[in-house]
Amino acid sequence: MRGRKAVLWSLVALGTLFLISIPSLAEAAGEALGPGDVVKQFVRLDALGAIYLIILGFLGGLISGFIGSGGAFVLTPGMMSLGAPAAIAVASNMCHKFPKSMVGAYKRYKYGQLDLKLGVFMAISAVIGVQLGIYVQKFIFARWGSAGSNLYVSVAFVLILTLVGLYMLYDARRAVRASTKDTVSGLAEKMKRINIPPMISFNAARIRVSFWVIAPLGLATGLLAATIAVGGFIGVPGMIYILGVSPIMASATELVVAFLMGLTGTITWAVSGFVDIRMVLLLLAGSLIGVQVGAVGTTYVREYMIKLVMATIMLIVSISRGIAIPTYLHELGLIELNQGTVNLLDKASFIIMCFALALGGVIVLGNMWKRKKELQAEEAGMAVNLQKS
Amino acid sequence: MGTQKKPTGRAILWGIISLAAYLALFLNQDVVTRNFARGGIFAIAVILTAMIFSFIHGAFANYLLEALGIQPLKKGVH
Repeated sequence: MRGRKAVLWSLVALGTLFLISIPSLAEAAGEALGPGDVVKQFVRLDALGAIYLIILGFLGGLISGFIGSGGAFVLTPGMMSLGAPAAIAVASNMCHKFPKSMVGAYKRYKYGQLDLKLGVFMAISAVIGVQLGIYVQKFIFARWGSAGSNLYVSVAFVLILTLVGLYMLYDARRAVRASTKDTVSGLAEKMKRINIPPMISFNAARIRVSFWVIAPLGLATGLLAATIAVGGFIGVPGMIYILGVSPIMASATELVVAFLMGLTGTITWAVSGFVDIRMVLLLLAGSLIGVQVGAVGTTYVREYMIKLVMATIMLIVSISRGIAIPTYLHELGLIELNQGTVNLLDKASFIIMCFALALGGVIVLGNMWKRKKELQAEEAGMAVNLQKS
Repeated sequence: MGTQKKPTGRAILWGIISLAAYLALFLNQDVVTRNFARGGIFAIAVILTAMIFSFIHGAFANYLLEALGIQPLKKGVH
């Protein structure tokens, strides 16, 4: 009874902080928006632009349904490449994120892969973390301006994603070599021994951990979502390696975090009228199909495949972001580059991001196809055996 | 897997509804964009539109995948 009360009170405290955090969530997209970027101008969409958004949406949805996050890193620049100002692209990405995550979360809940309670705890603390991230971002922006802020974002992005990505890749390889479904995290075992009340049980995820372990993890997810725009790339590995949640459960639970962050972010952007509903709906036309294919895909593969896909995307995206660093150094006057080189680096960075998304899609669909063929072959083999006997 | 009747009819029905909703919005895109950009109370319209489309198009996507035989292999926690 006392335990239940403590859990309730910790949720109330988190909820209050969450409500205080909402007004600034509009900035939770990671892109450092300067006054010049906040332009309310809607692009003219032609058939080619529409098809481009639908395909981008499908790939983003596919990855998101499979690994719980991803897509924002390419969808926002994707919309900007059509001529949309940064604020419109960020707002539209937010508005596209919450329905997609909602559909993905619902699907994976039906497959028994989602821990809603863990999702709510993670999501609320992530929203508060976003607030912290905005302070960091604003401080850097005020001190070093737009280029300084972009440089900080890129360096943090490359460092964090490379380190976490390499570790996940190493870990997934370990599972492949040992021919097991997945590995066990030693750090999570240690975290489970931290007995500071309130202790919270998550039945679906089959873990019992202290609130003081979950809350900082959620905060870190939000902080990174606000600074480098890919909170899920920290939230999912965090749940796997710190809380000891299985990759399938962690990636599904991340969709709840994405839903709440997307919804609260949309409210703030939409109140100022920055959402371009046409781009949102075109992205959704592809992503609502993609997210369901991705969700189905998780039932076809071994657990470590989620780590493998996530690590691959993280590493390629970090290369893409690394390519953009010389441009920011040039803007800060630290190195000299001519305009042609700047444009080339910019294009290369965007193309590599698209490649990361496409490669992720190929791995997911390829593995589903392979598994389906294997099962068909097994069924055929069984039918032959039955006929013989 | 495989033995259940495929919901092709429902996929087509929801596909038509979804297409009609998209056409209705895009044929009036100027009015919609202008009003939604006003912000304030129109934020509710933005969120409701996203929700309604995700329900309609989400249902279509669900039946489409089932009709194509893209279904989960196993239910329950791993």
